[in-house]
Amino acid sequence: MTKYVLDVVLDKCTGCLKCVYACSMAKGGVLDSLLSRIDVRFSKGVVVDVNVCRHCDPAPCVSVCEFDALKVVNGVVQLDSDKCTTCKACMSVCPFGAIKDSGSGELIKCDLCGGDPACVKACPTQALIYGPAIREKTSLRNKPIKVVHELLSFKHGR
Amino acid sequence: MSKKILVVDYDSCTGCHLCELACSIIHGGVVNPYLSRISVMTKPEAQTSIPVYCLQCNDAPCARACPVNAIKYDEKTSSWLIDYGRCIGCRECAYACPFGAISFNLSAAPIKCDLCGGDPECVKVCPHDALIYGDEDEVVRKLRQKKVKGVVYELYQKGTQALPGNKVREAEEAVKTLYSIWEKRKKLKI
Repeated sequence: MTKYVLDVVLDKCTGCLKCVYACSMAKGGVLDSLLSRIDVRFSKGVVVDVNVCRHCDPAPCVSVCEFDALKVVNGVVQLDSDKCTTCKACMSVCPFGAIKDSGSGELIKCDLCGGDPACVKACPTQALIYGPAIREKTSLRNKPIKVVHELLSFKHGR
Repeated sequence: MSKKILVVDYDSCTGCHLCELACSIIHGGVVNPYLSRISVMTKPEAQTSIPVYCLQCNDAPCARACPVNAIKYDEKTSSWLIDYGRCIGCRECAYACPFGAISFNLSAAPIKCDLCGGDPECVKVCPHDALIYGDEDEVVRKLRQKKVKGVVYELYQKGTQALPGNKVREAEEAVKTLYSIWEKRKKLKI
């Protein structure tokens, strides 16, 4: 089965935070960046990272969970908040900090909105891509090749 | 032990995509250029094609970015190899790679060039010898030979265009002598 992934092309991101607010609106019904599953990180006013769950397989958070609250279903790591005891073991083991504490007694993480992510729909510059993993090749590879082609067109005087 | 490298002569590459097909057959058993470790980027306007593949960097960014240390250097083939037992499929290596040399298979596991364990299939199928693999010194020598060949050919073309009438034949002969000298030098491996 082809695995679908949410991918970020950092060059295209303008840091408008539309994805952050779309996520909190779709999931909690409020505009609160602290309740968003996706994070845009800035350093000196420049976007340095767009952080969202990578849906690893095998995932460190799934293997560390004592209560079977985290499960991989069709390549998506899903959190069952009924089983979760908020022990925060998954938070400490995640290499990206993609699992958050909402502050109201439960943990939140990206579940790809069941296959139709709100952040991707909200992104105005197509910096967020949702599709088969195999498609990522073209989207990520365009960056260096564009530079090389610019150099070559300069050489050929076009 | 000397380091073995895979280099590409951009002037010789015609963009036939044979290396992609050979790579996907050897590694996955299917003919699918999307599952290839090497990918030839073509653009008709620029009149050139650029094969993109893993350059086996010293102090590789992919290995540094990996949160679980799954990418390790193999001294035997002088290449970076992915340890699939440790890999969690977070795609961080692909973001870190400055060349876009890491792609993904259908189950979103990263795939990158492993130099076929020291005997690359792409080099064997390349019909124009655009891909060269071997010891560092040997590869540099081969590349230099190719460049000299190109320069001689260019001289030959320029000579015939610039000179009118019977001067053309003289120029042709001069370039031919030059070329034969170069051929002799190649045979003697100077």
